[in-house]
Amino acid sequence: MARVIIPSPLRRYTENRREIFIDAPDLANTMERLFDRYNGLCIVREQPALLSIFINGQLVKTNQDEWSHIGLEKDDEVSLIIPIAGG
Amino acid sequence: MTENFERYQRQIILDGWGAEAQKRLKKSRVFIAGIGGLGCPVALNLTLAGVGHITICDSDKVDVTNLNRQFLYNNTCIGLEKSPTAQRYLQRVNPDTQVEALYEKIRPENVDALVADAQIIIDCLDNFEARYAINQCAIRKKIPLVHGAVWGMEGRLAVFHPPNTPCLSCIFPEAPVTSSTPVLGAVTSTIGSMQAIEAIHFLTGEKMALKGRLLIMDFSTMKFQQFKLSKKSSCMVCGH
Ligand SMILES: [Zn+2]
Repeated sequence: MARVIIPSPLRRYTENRREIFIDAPDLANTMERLFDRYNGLCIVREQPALLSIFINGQLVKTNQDEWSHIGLEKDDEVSLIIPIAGG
Repeated sequence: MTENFERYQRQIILDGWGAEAQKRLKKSRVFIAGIGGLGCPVALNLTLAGVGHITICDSDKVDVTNLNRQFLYNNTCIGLEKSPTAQRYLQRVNPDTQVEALYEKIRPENVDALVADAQIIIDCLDNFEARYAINQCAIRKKIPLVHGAVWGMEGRLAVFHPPNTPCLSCIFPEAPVTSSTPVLGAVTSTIGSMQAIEAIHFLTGEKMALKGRLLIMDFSTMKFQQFKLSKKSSCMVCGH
């Protein structure tokens, strides 16, 4: 059961939820279930360069097609980060 | 302590500071890109601290919708160019600080001349086009870039100083879609003040805590989290 942290600009697509708990064995499945549950988040799937993923504060450097090799355990924190421009 | 430093007495007594740090600040030159929500607190705090020379650069005019957060302006400033308006305010706050106002849009072709001989760039911009231009300029000039950004109740802070750290493009290679950003003055004031603190650390010879790190502050929950950033070897700007 990983905890996915949604950045502020994307919370309009997650019913304003900051944290979403997803029970999945790896990062690929976690992201699939997240996109299935909240269709609006697909905008980051369509523009993968916009999205950085950190697991427990460590940057995920592997490509999307290798996410199934990244196992997730209970209490892992998956932070989604997209650029914000405001100043 | 010289007589001129009397107004700084309460910061000169900071641990590890002394008149020496104050002299360093007095000799410092800072470029502030954007004098809006983030730029106002950055410029005010650096002026109060006694930075010797500050350049403020912005191509906007004051709009009534700026006034919930851009505290260097008021109702009488609507329609005026931001940078000279802010300059007049800042010069009244501290005549020791020389404030230079540039009413210019930052572009890849003019950014090096605008930044000139500044020792550090503070990124207080509201768009990625200009943010990418100052990122490349900071790399060419080998000076640090203190990045700040806000979206609603979320604030971001990072310090980029390649080759020891990644650059802005390593982390955000693609610009987000430009849209009207929700923003609260208390959030921009906090982030801008923190950018000023990191700049003061650098200018007084101290370590910048956020060098190569991204701090994300969620003010809706008051949860703050730091992320260690990594260089991207494939980065189009600083990669090899
Ligand atoms: Zn880079």
